[in-house]
Amino acid sequence: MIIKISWRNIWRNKMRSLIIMMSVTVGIFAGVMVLSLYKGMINSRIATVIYSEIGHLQIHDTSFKKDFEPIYTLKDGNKILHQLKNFPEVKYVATRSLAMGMLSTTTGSSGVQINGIDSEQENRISQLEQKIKEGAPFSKNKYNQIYVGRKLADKLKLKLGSKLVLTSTDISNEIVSSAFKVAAIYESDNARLDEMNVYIKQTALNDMIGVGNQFHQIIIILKNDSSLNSVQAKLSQQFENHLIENWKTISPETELMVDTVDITSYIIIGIILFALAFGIINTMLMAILERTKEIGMMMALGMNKLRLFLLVLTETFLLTIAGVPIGILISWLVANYYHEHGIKWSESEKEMMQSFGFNTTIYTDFPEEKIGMVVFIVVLTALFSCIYPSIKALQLKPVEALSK
Amino acid sequence: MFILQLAWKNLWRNRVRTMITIAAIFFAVLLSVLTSSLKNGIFDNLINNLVGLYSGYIQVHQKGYWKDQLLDNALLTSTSLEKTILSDKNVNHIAARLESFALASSGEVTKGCLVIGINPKEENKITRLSSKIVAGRFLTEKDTGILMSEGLLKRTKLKLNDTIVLLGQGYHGSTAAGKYSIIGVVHFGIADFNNKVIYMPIGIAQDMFGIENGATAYALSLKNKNALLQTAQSLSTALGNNYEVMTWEEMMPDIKQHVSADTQNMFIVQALLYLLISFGIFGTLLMMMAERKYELGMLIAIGMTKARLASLLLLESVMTVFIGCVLGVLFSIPIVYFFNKKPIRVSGDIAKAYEQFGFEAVFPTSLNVDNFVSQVIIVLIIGLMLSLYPVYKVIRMNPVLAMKK
Repeated sequence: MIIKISWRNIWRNKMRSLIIMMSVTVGIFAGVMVLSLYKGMINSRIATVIYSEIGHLQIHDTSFKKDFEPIYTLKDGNKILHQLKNFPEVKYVATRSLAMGMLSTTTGSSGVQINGIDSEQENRISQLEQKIKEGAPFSKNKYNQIYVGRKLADKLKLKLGSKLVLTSTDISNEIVSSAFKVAAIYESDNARLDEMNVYIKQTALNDMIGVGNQFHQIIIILKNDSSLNSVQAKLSQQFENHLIENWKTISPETELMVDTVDITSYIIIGIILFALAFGIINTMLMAILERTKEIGMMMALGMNKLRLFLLVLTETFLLTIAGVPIGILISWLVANYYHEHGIKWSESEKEMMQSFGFNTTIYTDFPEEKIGMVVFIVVLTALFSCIYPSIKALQLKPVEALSK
Repeated sequence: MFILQLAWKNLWRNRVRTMITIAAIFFAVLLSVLTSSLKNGIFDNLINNLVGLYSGYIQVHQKGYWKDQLLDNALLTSTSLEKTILSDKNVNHIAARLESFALASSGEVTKGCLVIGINPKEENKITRLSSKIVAGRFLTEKDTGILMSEGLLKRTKLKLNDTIVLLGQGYHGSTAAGKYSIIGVVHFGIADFNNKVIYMPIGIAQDMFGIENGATAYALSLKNKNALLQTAQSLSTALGNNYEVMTWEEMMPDIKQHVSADTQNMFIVQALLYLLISFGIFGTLLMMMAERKYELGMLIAIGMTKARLASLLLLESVMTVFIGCVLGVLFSIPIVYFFNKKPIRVSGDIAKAYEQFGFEAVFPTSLNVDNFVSQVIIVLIIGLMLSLYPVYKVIRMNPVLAMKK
């Protein structure tokens, strides 16, 4: 009975129903878009750190990070590598040999971290070859090749094919040095790291510092960001005598930024939901106000207050339910579009936006896992919003309402 | 005048309806002011924390120092130079620093370190260095000892009050060496910093590196942090071509990029908020027009020109929008002020991440007047644009149809 009346009521005043439905739709759209913006932004920020610099997890010998002495290799490195194969969460694994040293040319010298890498593994975890701006990747049959960063190359006036000497200490603390030829100049988003890091073949570095076929670092990329803590816990249990760190520990600056954005997004979402609730309350209040006469008539005809209350509630509920899928669909389409294309400024706007410091393209990411929450909150808000107008309606005196 | 009176009376004829519309505008202003001041406050606070770690808002160097950070590119301190910098009205404090790399040896272990000569009193005003002491005490100007970072202390296997030998290259290729006792230990959130820094009074550092009155940088703190670029510009003009003036944005481009990406993001979020707000206001206007159809039709039928009726409705809306805006601003001031003095605090993982850097995990609002002005103007424009809807409706109104129920 009530459902029937409310259904008819909805269709009787199409304009009003449309407005309520639309405000729910717009609310869902705004809520989901804000979430997908933040998700996209955090993902891209974490991605730069994880997929091109640090990886999800790193394993070192417990003493290595204190002194960066070449002697502290991962003694059972190959055993760890073998066991990591049993972790279904792990996507890629790479090893690096590391040494602190000095890069010298005829014009000057600079302190560097020498990374001994396996090209194939390295490309999977840090896309190193994609960062090469000049030159070519290591060739199979050449031994003493080196990648240097753009900033370092500019500083020491290095060009492709330039010769340079790397000096470091070996495992018995003897000073060792070796000559290399610049094979490529790379450039990443982080100029500071480009100045610090040079890459040579792992075999070349191992021969130089005398660690045989051992290495100092294992970098792990996971299939899924969310399994970070559980994998870290499992690894620390299995390999007790190793230092196992995640990207948050290694790059606390990134964690700080991500956390700040996180907390801001929660506050903003709170405000958005408040604005949404207010919009719905407003429209509902207006709708009841407009119907004073009609409600008075129903009361005069003998409809009891509970039923009247239920009637208003059912109407709102139906309209809200209708608004939800439309809102989700629109936001899904928009979020996916900008996931592919990114939010960019057109050429004419670009200059103005850049003067405000806006130059990055933002990619959205549809927050599947949070849709349930948004819908729940919006529906709850809508229902809650109509309680006040309904009570208002119940307080009407039939005679007064009709006499207007 | 007559229309003005009529509009005013109309507003109070149906009080509830007017109140609802005013409330819609009121909340629109309140929420957008709150969003904007929160966003700006949170990021200003973060920047303030980050520049307070080390760099300061602005640094002054000898021209070319930033590109080649060598002692040979150091500047010579003088009271006249400091006076020139301090004569800028926006500069709050300045602190001279002399930094260079050296080897720190404890006898058995030798490690590379970054030696920073500071003026303890002035430095503390900019970086609150004394708050980072975890053992021993902070430096005074007359000290001959050093402050060592916690990580470096562990790496060199030394303790408080032990003596350390520093060895490095001084000014113009001279040899720099000295023996110093460790009088304090400092802790930093950034591992890289915590593992290599040594602080000493600048006079001692100048002696060691053989560069009398030398300093590699002046770090500056500002009174009005929003006037960063203007201050840098005017300092650069005042100091002339022999010096370079750099803002934190130039010195820490990665942080700058983070902040600008977030600002850009907030721009879109705010646009979504405006969408929601406009929809709320539009909904009330739409309802109002539906409700008043009969009345308006009647007015036209008895001879009121559409132009007059339209300006009547416009006037009503403008009044409502203005009242809403004024009330919104009046109410948002104490709320924003409250959240500035008693900022939102968080605990848990986020608080831990903040603590690592020695920051408090608080998220204050910004009291900058710009937030109020810009948001009120935006809501005002939205409100006035939406007020055109009733006008459009009246112009297209057919009185006969309107009065038919």
